[in-house]
Amino acid sequence: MPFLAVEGLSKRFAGVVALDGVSLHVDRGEWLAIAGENGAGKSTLMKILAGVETRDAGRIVLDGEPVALRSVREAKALGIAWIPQERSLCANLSIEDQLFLGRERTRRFGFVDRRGRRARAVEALARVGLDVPPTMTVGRLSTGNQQLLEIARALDEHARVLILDEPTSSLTPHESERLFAALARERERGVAVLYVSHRVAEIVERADRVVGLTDGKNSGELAERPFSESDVVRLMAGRAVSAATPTSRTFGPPRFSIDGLRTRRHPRELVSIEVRAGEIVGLAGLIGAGRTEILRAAFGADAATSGRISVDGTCVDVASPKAAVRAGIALVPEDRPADGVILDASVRTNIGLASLRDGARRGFVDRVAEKVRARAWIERLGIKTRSDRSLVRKLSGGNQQKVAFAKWLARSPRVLLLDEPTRGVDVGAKEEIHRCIEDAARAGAAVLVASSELGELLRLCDRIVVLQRGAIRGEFARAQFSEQRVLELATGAATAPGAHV
Amino acid sequence: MHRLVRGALGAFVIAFGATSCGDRSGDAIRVALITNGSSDFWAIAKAGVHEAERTAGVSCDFHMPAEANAEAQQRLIETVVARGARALAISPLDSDNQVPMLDEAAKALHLVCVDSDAPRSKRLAYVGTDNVAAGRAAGSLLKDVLPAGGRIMLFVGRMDAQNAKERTQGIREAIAGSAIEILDVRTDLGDPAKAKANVQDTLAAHPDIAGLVGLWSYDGPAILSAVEEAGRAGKVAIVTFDEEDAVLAGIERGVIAGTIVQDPWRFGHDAVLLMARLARGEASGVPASGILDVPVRTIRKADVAAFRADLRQKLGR
Amino acid sequence: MIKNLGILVLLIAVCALTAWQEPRFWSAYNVGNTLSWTGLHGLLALGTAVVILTGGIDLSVGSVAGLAGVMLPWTIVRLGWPPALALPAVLVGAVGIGVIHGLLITRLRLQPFLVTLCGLLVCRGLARYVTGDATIGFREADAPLRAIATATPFSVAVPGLDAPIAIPIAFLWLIAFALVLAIFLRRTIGGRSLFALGKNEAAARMSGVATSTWTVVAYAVSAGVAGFVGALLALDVNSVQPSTHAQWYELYAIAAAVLGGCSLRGGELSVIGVVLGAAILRVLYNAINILAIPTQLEFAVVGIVILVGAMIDEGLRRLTSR
Repeated sequence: MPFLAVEGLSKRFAGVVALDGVSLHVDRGEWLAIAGENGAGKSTLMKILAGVETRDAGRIVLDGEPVALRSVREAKALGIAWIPQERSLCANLSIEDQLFLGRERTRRFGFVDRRGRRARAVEALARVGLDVPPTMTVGRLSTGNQQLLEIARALDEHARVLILDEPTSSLTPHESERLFAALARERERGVAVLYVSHRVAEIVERADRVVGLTDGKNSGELAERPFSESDVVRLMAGRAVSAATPTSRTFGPPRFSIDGLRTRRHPRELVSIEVRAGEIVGLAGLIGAGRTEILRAAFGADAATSGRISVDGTCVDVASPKAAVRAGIALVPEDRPADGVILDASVRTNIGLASLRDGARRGFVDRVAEKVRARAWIERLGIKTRSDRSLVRKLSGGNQQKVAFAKWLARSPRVLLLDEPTRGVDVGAKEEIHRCIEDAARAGAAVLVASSELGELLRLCDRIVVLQRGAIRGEFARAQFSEQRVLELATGAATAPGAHV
Repeated sequence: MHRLVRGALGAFVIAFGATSCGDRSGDAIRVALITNGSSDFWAIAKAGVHEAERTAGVSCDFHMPAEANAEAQQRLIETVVARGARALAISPLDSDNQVPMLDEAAKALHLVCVDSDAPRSKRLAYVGTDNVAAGRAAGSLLKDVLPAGGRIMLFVGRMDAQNAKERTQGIREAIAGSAIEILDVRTDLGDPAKAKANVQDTLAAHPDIAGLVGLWSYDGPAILSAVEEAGRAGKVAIVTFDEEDAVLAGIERGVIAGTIVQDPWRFGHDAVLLMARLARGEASGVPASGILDVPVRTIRKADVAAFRADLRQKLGR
Repeated sequence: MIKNLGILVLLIAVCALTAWQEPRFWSAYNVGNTLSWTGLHGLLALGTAVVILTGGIDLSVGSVAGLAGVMLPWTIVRLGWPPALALPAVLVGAVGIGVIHGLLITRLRLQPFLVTLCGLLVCRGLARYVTGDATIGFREADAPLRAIATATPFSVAVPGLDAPIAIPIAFLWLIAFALVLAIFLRRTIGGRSLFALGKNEAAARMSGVATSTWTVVAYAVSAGVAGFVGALLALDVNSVQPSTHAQWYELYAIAAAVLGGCSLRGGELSVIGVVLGAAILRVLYNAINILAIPTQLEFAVVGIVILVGAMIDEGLRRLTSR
């Protein structure tokens, strides 16, 4: 008998079917991957198991007992822990305060048992291999270690089923390794892991079994190892996806150059990069290597301490994003909900936001052009939305990202800066976004793309610049691409242990 | 414009902590007067204060609280005591409840009430009008202009001020037995715009209203402007208190029947003279009753010109 | 439109209830008065709403109106300026105060609450100092100027009313400003920029929107409107008390804006909603007097009705989002 069994689970939201009779099971110590595109129902499934949403129909059996799962509290009490993709940590708290937040054990008169909780915190951290003092503030932990902290908390609450949503999407390879090592130990102890990810390679490497979801229904299962990447991708997309080979492009003259840029974060490192028209240059490096800082400074979003930015040989004073935009520079930022799109505005408004002045007369926006433009780009990028007036909030992550792209592509930018262009985006949308990056390059844009997913850069770029601690450590032309060598440079021999704590 | 510039400069000076003002009058005895708000009424009283400062050889700090509430007065009293004044004249806003506060001040200096009395406090004297008598004057004016009687409405900032209570009482006494009936009292918390809206609402709700009485100074202009805009000038009897510019003009136009004026110049003047005597230890100036009465006058159309000339001279405008 | 339904229902309910209890509520004179006050408070609320749209707050509008209300008679009566010079000068001054607020907020990154609270104190203090706290009025001289506050350019006959309603000019100012503002917000680059920066300032900035400039514009509009209302109010009442002129009006303005659907987090503004919000407040004050409810209960009644309005609104929102 399986440890956790889900039978015929259904859920609808406002008439839209999110889950339609989904069944799956997972055993103690088993690692089950759930594959599916955004909108396939993975999130709903996880939320129901975590008690965040309630199901309309279906049975959930845990350890032989049918369970109601009406609240988060109930799910936790049963030992089901969900680690969502968005961090829900308080950056100002200490690690141990965060660990026990909301479930403080008190002695008489409501006093906190300080010594007892310190010991327990150390034990919980050790369990996930997190070697940091419990008094450190959460904000100083790297994203990967924050992830481990959340898992530590779940395990301390006696989790028997761990549900992980895209756990590695913002981790460095090294951090991912640590996470998987910790998870492997828990697996030994009989914790069941439900794992949702777009990272096909990880699934292939780690999962014991894969269940596919498409449009809220079971779309198949890979019941036994070994399975290949294409097997998983087929399961995810519900169809075969061809790995597009990059078509060749011709490069024009140098279009965009960063010359002697110093960022606030790394004031002692000078960075110079040149990108030619039609060229796609990748920025590789670990988290904290300074990729985002360079892109933001080149766009005027953050002030640089020195340096010259030029477009087509003309020096541009990027005092603000407005000045950069005027010079034909565009940035699709890393943090989509905060900087990339306005979630509570319509798709049309978002796409038109950077082009308000196009066709405007005496300050009046050309509303017809705005509508036509929005609809054209929705069509062209295949943005899945009910209408151009729908709120961006209602779109899936991939489609939100396409909106952020469309906003800039509508201006035919001369320089396209991209920061993690496919983070949290499903396989299908990722392909489409890659294609639209290539199209922009083919149209003559100089593209500079930063990504923590090395595979993406290797597949997309004509050249890769490797950063470590704010400095350029090397550069590879397409013919010299090697994952191994990029990683070696990015991690650097000089990296002190614990530097990325 | 120079006042504005000076104001801005003054604000900066205070902001940078240079708060010690030069003492204009050297070693002269310092006394103070705290009003119950700001209006022309107190501007005239201030002229009287200045005159008395000269004749009695004292220096008087003149304070108008920004907000018409007891807390603002409390803060001013503390300031006055801290600055070492020997005597204080105050127009208490809420005489019944300010007794402890006044008694506390009376420990530190010679305390006198002006304009509005607090008989239950330890104040040494009251300089001002018997407001019940002022109310009676308003009442008899109403009886004159409304011989057939009718319903009237009263307007005032707050009913918890002693002068508001006493004026109302005086009006009631004077109209007792006549066919005039007080419908209600509408309060506006010191906001002239609200006072005007109150008058408009009264005209709307009671088309048969015969008389409107403004108990506080700004209520007069508010009544006047609402009545004239409604086209009811001459059809409603208006009686006001005090002598705002607009009110005097309204009397001349025949829209306002008359206004009951106190003599604020004498309030300020007599209060300072009394304080000077108290500060010098001369008890002779205080009447046995503790009340220094300054009688009211009724200004009708025939009196306006002479009254205005006198006012101008006192204000030095 | 559904967003304003709740408040419209509430307005109609309050009007119907009052008219049923006291038919004189529905008289041309009373409707005219209420329209006039709605005009003044509606203008103030719309100005404030523009700032709230950006996610800020303007606490200074009452004091700016107070200062403008003092400066207009002061320049005309005391300095002898011609009204045609005094009024524009006062308006320019008010806009200047708004620009200072905006610059302090965008350049020095001070909190809007703090900046405009200080604006409230400074303006009130200056108004009192300039006049020496004495009441000030226009005397008799300025009849043409007073017309911009008290004229009734035309009348509208409404069936069922005792007489044609003389439409007060203050209400026409409100209609005119509301129209201009609505068109500005929906159709122009500036309006779009204000909405975008209110919903997500970082994303707007990252899209090349001049967020700082438009924030300053928002505060300038708010203060400029406040100056205009202060001048109108002074002309209307013709007796300006520096310490109390338009005091606390910022609270009515904020209440009307929020009642009209503005979110204090920014990014939302319905011009019609704000006008309806201001109308409700004025009708309530009027109803309390007309129905002879003791004035002492005024605040309590207003507070309860605003709460009821907010509850209806939230209820409708939940129903429609289903």
